[in-house]
Amino acid sequence: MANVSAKACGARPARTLLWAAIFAAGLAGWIVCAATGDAGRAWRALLINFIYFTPLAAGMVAWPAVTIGSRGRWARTIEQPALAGVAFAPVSLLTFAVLWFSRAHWAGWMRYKDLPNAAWLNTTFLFARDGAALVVLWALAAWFVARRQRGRPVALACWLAFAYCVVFTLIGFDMVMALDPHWFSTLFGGYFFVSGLYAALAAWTLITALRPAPDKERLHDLGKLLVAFSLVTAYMMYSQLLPQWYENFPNEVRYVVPRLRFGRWGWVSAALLAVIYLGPLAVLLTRWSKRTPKFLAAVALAVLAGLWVERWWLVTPTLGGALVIGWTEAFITAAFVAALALGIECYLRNAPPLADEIEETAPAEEAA
Amino acid sequence: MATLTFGQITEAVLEPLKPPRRVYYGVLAVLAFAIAWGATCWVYQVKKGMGVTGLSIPVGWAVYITNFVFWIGIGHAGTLISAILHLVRARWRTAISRSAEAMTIFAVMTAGLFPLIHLGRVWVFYYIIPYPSERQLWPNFLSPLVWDVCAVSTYLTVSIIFWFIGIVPDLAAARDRWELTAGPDHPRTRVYRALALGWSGSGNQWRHHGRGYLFFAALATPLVISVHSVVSWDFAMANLPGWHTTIFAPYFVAGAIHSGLAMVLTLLIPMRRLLRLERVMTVNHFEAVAQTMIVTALIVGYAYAIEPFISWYSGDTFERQFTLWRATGWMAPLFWALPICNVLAPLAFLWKRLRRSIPALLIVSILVNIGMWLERLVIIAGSTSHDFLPHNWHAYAPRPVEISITIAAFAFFLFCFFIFTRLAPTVSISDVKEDQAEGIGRYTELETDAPPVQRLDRAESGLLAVFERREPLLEALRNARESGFDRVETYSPVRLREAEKIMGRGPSPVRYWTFAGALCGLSGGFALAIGAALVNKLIVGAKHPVSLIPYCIVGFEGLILLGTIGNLFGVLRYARLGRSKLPRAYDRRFAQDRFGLFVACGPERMAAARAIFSAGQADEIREVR
Repeated sequence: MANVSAKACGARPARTLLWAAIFAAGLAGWIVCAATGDAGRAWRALLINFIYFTPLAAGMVAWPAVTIGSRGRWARTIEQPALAGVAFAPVSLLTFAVLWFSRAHWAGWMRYKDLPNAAWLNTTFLFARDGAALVVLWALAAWFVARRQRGRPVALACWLAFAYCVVFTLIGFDMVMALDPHWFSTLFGGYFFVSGLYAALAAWTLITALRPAPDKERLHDLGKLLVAFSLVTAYMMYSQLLPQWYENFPNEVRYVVPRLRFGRWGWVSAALLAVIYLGPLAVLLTRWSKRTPKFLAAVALAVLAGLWVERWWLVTPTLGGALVIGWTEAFITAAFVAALALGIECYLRNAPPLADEIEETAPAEEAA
Repeated sequence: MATLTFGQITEAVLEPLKPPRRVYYGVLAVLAFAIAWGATCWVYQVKKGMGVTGLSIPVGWAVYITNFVFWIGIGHAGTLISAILHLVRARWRTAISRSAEAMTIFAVMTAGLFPLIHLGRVWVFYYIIPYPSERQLWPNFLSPLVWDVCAVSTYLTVSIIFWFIGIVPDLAAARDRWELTAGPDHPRTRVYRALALGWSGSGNQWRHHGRGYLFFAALATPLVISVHSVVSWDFAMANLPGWHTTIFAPYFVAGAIHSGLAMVLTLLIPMRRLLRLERVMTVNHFEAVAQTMIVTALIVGYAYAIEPFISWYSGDTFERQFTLWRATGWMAPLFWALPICNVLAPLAFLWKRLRRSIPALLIVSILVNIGMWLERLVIIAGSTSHDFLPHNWHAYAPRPVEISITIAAFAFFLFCFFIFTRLAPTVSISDVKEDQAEGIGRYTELETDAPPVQRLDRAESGLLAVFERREPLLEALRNARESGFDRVETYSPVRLREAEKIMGRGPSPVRYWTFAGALCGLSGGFALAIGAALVNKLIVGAKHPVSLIPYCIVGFEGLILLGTIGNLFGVLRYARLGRSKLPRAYDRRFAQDRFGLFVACGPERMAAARAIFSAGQADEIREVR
C-alpha cells in the first residue's frame, strides 16, 4: 500500500538523489559566499528563507487541518502531499537555532538601546519564546499527521490551525516587525500568517498539479482557493497600508516610504501587486485556467516566487540591504527548496495511505 | 433534518403565510408605537438641535454612530450565510439563509438612518452624494465618510438584488399555492405573480439563475468584507488613541459577522417555534452557526489581545495611557464586559451539549449582541471622551432622546422582520429541496459535449409528460434526444444539472454581462474619484488631490455595484424573467413537487414522443396546443 501511495504521489529515487545533490551544492555555495563575501547579506538571506519556508511548510500541514476542522471533505484525496510539509520540521528548527548564533548580523533591534519595548525584545527571551512556540507547533503538526493517517481528528485539526495563527503572529512580530523596533502595526502578525498560508496553498497546488493524472475537480477547487487567498492577502496588505499612508506619521511611514518611494523598490512593490496580490484573480478567472494542470502549476510557481520576493522585500529595506539578488540568495534558496522537496519525497515514499484515501480507491481497484 | 418530500417542504414553509393570529398584530402595534415615539424624539431633536443629546465637545460621536456600526455589523451575517457559505459549499446554510438575508436588508436600512439622525441638519445630507451640481462642488473622495456612502449604498443595493433573485423561485411556489387556494384574482396572488417575474422552473431559467446566483455570491463576498472595513476606517483614519490602528478592518469584519450570527440565533430560535418550522430548521443548523461563532469569537479575542499589546509595545505615551484608562477608568465595567460577552460566552459552544441546547444558544446569542453593541460604544465614545489633552477629558452618558431613538431602531428592525415572516417564505424552498435532492453534487458544474437543444417560445405546442421523480424524467429526456428531438424543455422545482448536460447546455452567458459590468464599474469608480479631485484641486492632509491608494475603495465599490447590476441584467435577459405570462406547457405542480418534460413537435411526431413518455413511466401525458 505504501508503494501504491508513493507511486501515486510521484516519488522516484532518482529525483530524491537529485534533490539531495542540489541541497548539498546550495548549502556549500552559500557557506562559501558567507565566508568570502558579505556575511551580513548571507545571514539575511538565511533569515529570509527561514521566514518564507517555515510558514510555507507548516502551512501545508495546516491546510488539511483547516479543511478537516471545517468538516470539509473535498480535499481528502489530495491531502497526503500537503501533509508531507511536516518533513521540513527538522530543517526549520535547525535553521532557527543557526539564526540564534548569527543574531548579531541580522537582529535589527539589537542595534538600539533604551527601547520602550526592551523587555519584550530581550534577545534571549525572544528566541526562547519563539523557539518554544515553533517546537509546540511542529509537535502538534507531527501528531496531527500521525492521527490523520488513521482517521479525521477534528479537534486536533482545530488546535493545529489555531496554533499556526498564534505562532506565526509571534514570529511575524518578533523576527520581521522587530527588525525595526520603532515601527509597529497591529495587523502585521495577521498579515504574516495569512501570507504564509497563501504560500502553503500555492505549494500544495503546485505539487497537486504536477502529480500524475491529477483530478481536475480538485485542481479547480485549489485554483478557486488560490484566487480567494490572493485577495485575502491583498486585503490584509491594503488594510495595513491605508491607515499608515493616510495618517503620515513618521514612525509609521518609515515602513511604507522605503518600499513605495525609494528608487527601484517601488518597482518591486508594483511587481508584487501584479504577481501575488492581483495576478491570480486576473489569470485564474476562467474555468479552463483552473482545470489545466500545467497552467495552474505555472501560476502557483509564479505566486511562490513572488512570495519569496515579498519576504525579501519585507526584510531587506529595513536592514539597509541593496536591491540585489545574487548568488548568496540563490544558493541558500536552492538549498531550502531542495530540503523541502527532499522531505516531501521521503515522506511520500514512506507514509501509509490515509484511511479515507483507501476507501476512495478501493471501489476503483475492484472495478479494475 | 428528517427527510421530507418536496411537497412537505413547500407546505411547511408556506404554511406560516396564512393570516396570523391577533397576538401578532398586538406585537406589531407595540413595535409601531416604539417607532412612532422614536420618530417623535427625532423630530424634537431636529427642532431643538443636537444639544438635547449627550453629545458635547469632545464627544462628537457616541450612541448614534455606535448604532450605525452595530446595525451594519448585524447585516453581515446574511451575506456570510448566503454568499460565503454558498461559495464554500456549506450545506447547513440552506434552511437559514433566506431569513438571514432579509435580516441583512432590514439591518442595513436601520443603520442607514443613523448618519441622518446624527447629522442634525438632515436636509443637507445630499451634500455628500456625488452629483453634478451647478456650483461644481464635488465630495472629496479622500474622506472616509464618502467611502461610507459608496460602500453602504452599494451594500444595500446588492443585498436587495441578491435576496430578491434568490427568492424568485419561492415566490413562484407561493404564487401557485395562492392561485390554488385563493384564486387567481386574490390580491395576494396578484402580488406574488408580479414578484415571481414569470418564473416557471424551466431548465433554461434554472441554468441562468444558478449561474447568476453564483456570481452574486462571488461579488457579495468581497463586498461584505469591504463594507465593515470602510466603516472601521472612519475611525482608523483619525488621529485618536484607540482609533488609529491597522488591525481595525479585519477586526471589525470579524466582529460584524460575530454579532450578525448572534442576531441570527436570537431571531430564528423564537421564529422557528412561532412559525412551526422545526421540521425544516433543526438544531443542527443552529449548532453550525454556534460552531462558526467559535471561530469569529477567537478572531475577536485575537484582536482584543493584540491591541493592548501593541499599544504597550509602541511605547507611545498616549496609547499606553489610553489603554490603561480604558481598563481602569469609568468605562472599565463596559470594557471588561467585552471579552466576557464576546469571547468567553461563545467559547461555551466548545461543549457540544451547550451548542445543541436551545436555551444556551439563545442566552449566549443575546450576550454577544449586548457585548458587540457595548464594544462599539467603548471604541467610539471611549476614544472621543479621552483624547490627548487632559483638560478635554469628559465623561459621556446618553440622554433620553438618544435612548429612545436607539430603542426605536430595534423596534423598526423587528417590525420589518415580523412583516417579512408573514409576507414571504422565511426558508429558501428551492435551496432546501435542491440540497436534499443532490447533496454536495449540486455545486458541481457538469461538462457536456451533447448537441445543444433549440430555444422554445412560450406558445409552442407539443407533448408534455409529468413525472413524480426526476430519474424517469432524465431517462425519458435521454431517449427523446436519441430519437432526434431537439426542441425540448424541462420544468422542475429544483435545478437539474444532469438534464442540462443531456440537453447540451453549456455555461450560461450571464458571465459576460457580469464581467462587462464589473469592468465598467471599476473604471467608472476611478474616473469619478479622479474627475472630482481634478475639479476640486484640494490639498487635504498633505495628500495629492489625485491619490490612487484611497480611490481603490471607490473603484472597488463601483466594480461590485455595476458587476451586480450587469449580472442581474444577464439573468433577467437570458432566463426571460419579467414576463407576466407563463409557458403553455407550465403546470402549477412544477413549483411544488413534480417534474415536467415538454417536447415541442407537430402532429406527425406526436406518436413517437408519446411512446417515449409511456416507456419512461410518466405519471401523466397530455398534449399542449
